[in-house]
Amino acid sequence: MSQSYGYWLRKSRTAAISRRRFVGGAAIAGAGMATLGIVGCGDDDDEQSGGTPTPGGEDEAPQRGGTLRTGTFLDVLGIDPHIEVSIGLTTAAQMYTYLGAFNTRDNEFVPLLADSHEQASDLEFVFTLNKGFKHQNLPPVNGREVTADDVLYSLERFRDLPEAQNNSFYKAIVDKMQVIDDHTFKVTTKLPYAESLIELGGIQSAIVPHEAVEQFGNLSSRGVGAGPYILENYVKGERERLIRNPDYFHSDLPYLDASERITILDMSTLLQAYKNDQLDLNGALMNKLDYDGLPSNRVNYTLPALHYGSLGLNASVKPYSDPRVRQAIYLAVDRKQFVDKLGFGDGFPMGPLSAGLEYWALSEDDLAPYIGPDYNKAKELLSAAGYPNGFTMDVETSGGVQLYIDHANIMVSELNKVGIKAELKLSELGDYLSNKLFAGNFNATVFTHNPYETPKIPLGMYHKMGLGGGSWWHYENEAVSKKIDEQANEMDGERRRDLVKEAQRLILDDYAPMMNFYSPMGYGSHHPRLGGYDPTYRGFQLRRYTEFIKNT
Amino acid sequence: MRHYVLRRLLLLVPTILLITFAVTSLMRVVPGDPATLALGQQATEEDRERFREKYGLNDSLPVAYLRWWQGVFQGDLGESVVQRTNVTTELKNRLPVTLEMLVLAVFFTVVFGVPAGILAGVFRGSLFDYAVRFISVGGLSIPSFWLGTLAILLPAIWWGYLPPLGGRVPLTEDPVRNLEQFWLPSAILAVGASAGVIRIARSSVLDVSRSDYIRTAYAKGLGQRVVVVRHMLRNAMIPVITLIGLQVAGLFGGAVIIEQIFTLQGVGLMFIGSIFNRDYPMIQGIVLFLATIFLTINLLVDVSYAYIDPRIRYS
Repeated sequence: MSQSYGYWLRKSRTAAISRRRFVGGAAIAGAGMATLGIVGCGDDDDEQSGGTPTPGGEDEAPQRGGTLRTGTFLDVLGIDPHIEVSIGLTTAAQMYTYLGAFNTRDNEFVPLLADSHEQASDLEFVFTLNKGFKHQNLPPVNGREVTADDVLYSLERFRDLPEAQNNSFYKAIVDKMQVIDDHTFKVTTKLPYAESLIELGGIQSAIVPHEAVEQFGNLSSRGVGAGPYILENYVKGERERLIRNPDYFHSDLPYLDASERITILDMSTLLQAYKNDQLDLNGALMNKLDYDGLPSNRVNYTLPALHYGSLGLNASVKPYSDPRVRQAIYLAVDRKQFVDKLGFGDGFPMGPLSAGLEYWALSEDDLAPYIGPDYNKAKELLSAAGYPNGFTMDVETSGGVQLYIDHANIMVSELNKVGIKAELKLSELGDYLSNKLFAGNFNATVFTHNPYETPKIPLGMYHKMGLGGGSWWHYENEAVSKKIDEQANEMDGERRRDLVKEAQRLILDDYAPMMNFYSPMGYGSHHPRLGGYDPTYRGFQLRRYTEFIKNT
Repeated sequence: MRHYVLRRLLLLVPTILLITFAVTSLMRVVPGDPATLALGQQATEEDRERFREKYGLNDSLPVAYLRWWQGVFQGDLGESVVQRTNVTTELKNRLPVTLEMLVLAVFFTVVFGVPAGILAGVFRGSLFDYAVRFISVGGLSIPSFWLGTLAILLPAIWWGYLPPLGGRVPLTEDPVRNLEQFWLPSAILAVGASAGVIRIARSSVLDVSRSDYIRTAYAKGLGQRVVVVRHMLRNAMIPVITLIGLQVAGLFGGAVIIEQIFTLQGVGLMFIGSIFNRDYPMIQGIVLFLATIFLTINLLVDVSYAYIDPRIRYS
């Protein structure tokens, strides 16, 4: 075990990144972020290899004009901010405004429509809106001022749309939303909730004018907002073009004249289009080999990715109800195998939270005792639990996702080393998700997660209520659930961080039935002519609107 | 003949009813809940129930099926559970993409496959015959997705050339750019189909060339060109046309992958996504259109037999 841990230390020291700038952030589907190249990591010190341009160009004076060209491998289904959870949201983020945007890197709420916000108590958030903040000068709103009524209409729409996802904050936590006057809006929550401002400043909490919804029917393919860009052209699943809103309230922004995005569904073609200089920002998901093959005259960067793979066990059935068996499994799986085989040598140890959530995640020292391999101890634990010769484990997963299979295959070969005969049971993806994983209908399962920028979801998965519909693992550890609730209700950031770490320790001490394999590295790249782009902001970068094209 | 065609057209109605009903019922038997898939991991049962209510997913099979037909007669194929649009609108946007690709692929298949197969049969044992056979075996063996990936990546790596990406340009708007987008994916789709046609055309020509009437034609002093064009081709064409008709369905299967590689937002790609997401209205809409298209092609193929071979009479 210690040998393995030494390996982790070496890996983390040699990785050409700094992770201390990352603290997590608002939820957005990771694939969407990846498309904007935000899986990458900037560097704030001299660890990066010599000669490579630094991301961001933050120290350069912004220049007006130019067109940003991006691409995505994701099929853009629509651009309604209250319905989309993936790439379509990145368009919505340019068209619409928000009360504010939460910067998870620096843990601050950055006002946009709001001029300021006041927290009268842990339960009350009062936003004073900017006067003269207008919708785009297009029908049907024709430059009408944005008022508190628009905010109420929008957030209620997000809460009530049957197609909306990730709106549990508005349904379960928010008690009241009130228009105090045209420029004052108040939100009252039922209980103190640590991520209130993250939710209120989340990318789905966009302010949309009711006239647009009434005229267009829905906002999936058309829309008018009060954001910094106007949607000039949108062809579903093919291309879109946004142009600068000349009447945007924050008149210095945006710098770009236009922002264009095309869809190239084939990942290697998309990467090639970037390499051929047809795009300014890489939108393809890269592995280490792709990254190593990038042109050297680009701004190439790495950072811990936020997605990861897990083994889920049904804690209500034998043998997984026995913590000794779960501990044996934790110790039997050599995480280095995942790093080497899936990450090509890049990756980080992982407890309940990914290494990308450095502000919240346990340190590598904390994780060391829980990370294998220690085959002898694993065998001893299995013997003590009554399984000296191991047992047969049916592992449900889907053949429809290669990453599931890749993780599962490595895990199967690892468990075989201690006598656990794991066998994969493959299902079609739709069947697997709706009838097995989300229904908690399995003995053991392997799957991968979307990236999470805050601890809410990754920790919530260990709660006895799961993410709201019950624990997929049928795991009911009162102490763990209580600690997860405590951190969710803790409004003080530092104190919350302590509670999040305590919750993780409790989870690990009980060898909770969701074991995360490793935290992979993310890779990003953009052309040096792109300035004002800092991938270290992750999802928040989408609403900084600071990108510019350098006149070279 | 007129009666035959009329009867076949009438038969299309129960066939389409049967196909759409079978697909509708089977999709509902397949495990997987559209509401769960659409709303993701954080949804509660209450959320899912609201979603089901909105999209009529709680309706019984007969009710859902009849309601769908009621919509079809009014030109409304229903609301997609996933695509955020009406199925009719979505199909209107996407069908032209797939159809253009398929038409061009059939064109390439016929233009390359038929002459190559016939000439290989006529000049059996020649160098040309061996070359054609070698190419056809290659065409059958090489998967179209591999060929497509190479065809798009190699020019990009070597010469920095990528075909126009980022959306279809309609043929009527800019024919040159449209063909620039479509010729390569269609040609790749046609490789396997051409190879099949070559082999059938060749063996059919060989078969016909051993017939008595061909021997008689040569015996009465007709030149090879006349024998081949007038007597051999028409008789050899029936299995070839049958195969081409059948291959349209096969080409649609290949189109799913090719649409992905070339980012052509056609029906094939959406069909796969709809099946995964259990988007019943979309699946039914696509099946309705495809079944109509394939059945019509089948009918045209059957009718064409009578024109190619006057001995065939339909009654």
